Amino acid sequence: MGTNRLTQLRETSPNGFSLVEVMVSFLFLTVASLALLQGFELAFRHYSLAQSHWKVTVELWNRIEQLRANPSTQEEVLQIFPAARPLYRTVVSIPGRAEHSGWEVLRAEK
Amino acid sequence: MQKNKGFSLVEMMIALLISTILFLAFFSIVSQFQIWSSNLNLLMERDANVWLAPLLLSRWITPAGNNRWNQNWSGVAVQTGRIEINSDIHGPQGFPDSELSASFEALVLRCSKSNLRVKSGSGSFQPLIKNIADFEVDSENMPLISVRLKAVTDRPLFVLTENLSESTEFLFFLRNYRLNLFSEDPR
Amino acid sequence: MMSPARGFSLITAIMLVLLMTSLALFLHLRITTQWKMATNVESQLYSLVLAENGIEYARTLLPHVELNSLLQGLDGEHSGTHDPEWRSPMPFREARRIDPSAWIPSSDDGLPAYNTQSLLAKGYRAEGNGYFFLRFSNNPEETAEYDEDHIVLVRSLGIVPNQLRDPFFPEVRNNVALIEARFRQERVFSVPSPLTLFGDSGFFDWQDEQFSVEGGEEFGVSLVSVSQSTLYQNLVDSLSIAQQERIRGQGAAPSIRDASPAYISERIYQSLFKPDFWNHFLAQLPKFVDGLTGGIAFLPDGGVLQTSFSGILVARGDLILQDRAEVEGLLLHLGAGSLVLKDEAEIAGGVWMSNLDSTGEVLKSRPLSLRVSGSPAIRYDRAAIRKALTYFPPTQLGWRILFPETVQ
Repeated sequence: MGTNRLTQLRETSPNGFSLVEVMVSFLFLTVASLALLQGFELAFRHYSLAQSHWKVTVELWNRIEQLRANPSTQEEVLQIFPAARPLYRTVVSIPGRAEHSGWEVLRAEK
Repeated sequence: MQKNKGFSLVEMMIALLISTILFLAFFSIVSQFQIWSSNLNLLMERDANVWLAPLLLSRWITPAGNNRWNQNWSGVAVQTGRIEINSDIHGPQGFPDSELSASFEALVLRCSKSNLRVKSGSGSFQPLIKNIADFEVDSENMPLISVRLKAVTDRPLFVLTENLSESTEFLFFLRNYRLNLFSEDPR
Repeated sequence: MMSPARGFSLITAIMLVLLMTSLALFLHLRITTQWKMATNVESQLYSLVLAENGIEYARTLLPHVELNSLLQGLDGEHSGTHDPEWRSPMPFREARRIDPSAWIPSSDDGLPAYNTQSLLAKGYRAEGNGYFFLRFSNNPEETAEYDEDHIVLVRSLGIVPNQLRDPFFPEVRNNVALIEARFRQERVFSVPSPLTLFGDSGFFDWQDEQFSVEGGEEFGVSLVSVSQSTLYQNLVDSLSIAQQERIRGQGAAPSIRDASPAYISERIYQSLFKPDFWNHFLAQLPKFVDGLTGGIAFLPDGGVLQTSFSGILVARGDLILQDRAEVEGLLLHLGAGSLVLKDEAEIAGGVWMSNLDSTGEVLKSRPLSLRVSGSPAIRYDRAAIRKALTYFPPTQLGWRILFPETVQ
């Protein structure tokens, strides 16, 4: 019965129309805000991804600097020609960070 | 006419109730939105400069001490919270000229007023990287130098109480301090 | 009739949503920028790592190459210095936009090569789609075409192709780093005779007449004085007529020359007269040894060698080569103690003897001591000496990063 009155009101009164309109607007706003919040969460996630990417980069850099200062024994030997002293090759990567390809390091023996 | 009025009151009450709920929901979302946005901005501000630190520092620190033999200056001097870097890396002909004449050849780095500051030659300290609360340099493992930066946000974040300072360590191997079998003395 | 207020709430809501959307877009842009920055820092740092890999490659190659051939390139002609960035593998501008896999050098001067074979004709492709390119050039104190001081510059260019293109700089495709290192390939021990004696006096004991010092086209013995020297007299007095015949070179016997003027005048040898040279060399030597089978070996307290050795053998104290001991390369006997050559010991290459006091500001010489018995032989072998010298790593005299604004 109320619905009928409402329908009647919508058809006859501009005041009644505003109520529905406000409700629709709020609904729209809420849905839009929720979507944006989702977007924000995504933005946060992207940002922390960028942050961790940078941290991995710094870790890779630090490992390489350490390797240059204190050579490791687990390096592949590259012989640039048979008589040459060995050139040591290592691919430095961070375990579990597949998205970050390893960095190649060459190091002369002496 | 009277019926219409009575119906409007009920309608108004329902409308008010719904509006209040919706307003509350909406404003809580908006305030959350604002908090997140503001926090993210603060974090991004904190990181924007710090993320460039490895590039800037590697370019200055790794070639430290270039062409220092037979000169009256040392390549690297480390004190608490401060590093002095001298590298003759440029001259009028594009090659080292045994003088620390270019602006980037004699540098001092230290931290003050939440900024990592750099002093070039006899100039004054200028801000280099913002949002840096602490700067430590360790030369114990020379020629490997460790630089620690503690980055902070401009102001505390909203709502979140966790510690938002971010400490990062960078290692730099000083290439001009690599061991040589023969003396580096320019003959 | 419709009220003018109709649609106000909706419009307000839409405007609010628009406002929030624009905020979100702004944040998205900032996050994208930060992401780009993180990626860019990664590529920039990796290009620096790659450029340094090139310097390490050059460090390995340098002891094996003849610098003047290297500077001229495989075509044997230096192409000149017209391009302002001729010392670099390629100009910065080109490095930023090329496809590194399709690089063709404009000139072959200074490109890495060994025994007429180009080594990195297309650069070195590393893990993660990175590259480095190398070029050697003569140090600016000398002409571009000819090296005399054994000092050379090497520039290594690291390139990491951009993963994210910048719409504002579409021509910039690569992250680039350029490093220049200055190396000196040591030739101070490139001895001119099978036996080179660096000092002012010596004690020589030749017990038999079966030994042999064979210089071939060179003098048998070269003497280098540090100051007032009686070395020549000490040597000649110690040899009988028959023994003098055992020191041959340039078709004559005895073949002994005073090499002091050559050592004093030639720049590469001048450091031998400085105490700092010896102090540094002896202090660092233990950190550069390979072992007693070959390469660089150091016997600080002397010892007995009965087997074969190939490379550079440095000894102090009494060193005895006996039985069928064989040394191919260089034997440096430094400091007090005697060098004793016995039985059928053989050295193919050269022997250097010095006994120096490098504690003061001026280098002082102390008597040398050489004892020879049986039928040992010292045969001058230029190729063996050259090979042995390749075990000495290049001395790094400088290392700097170059930028487009500072490169020349």
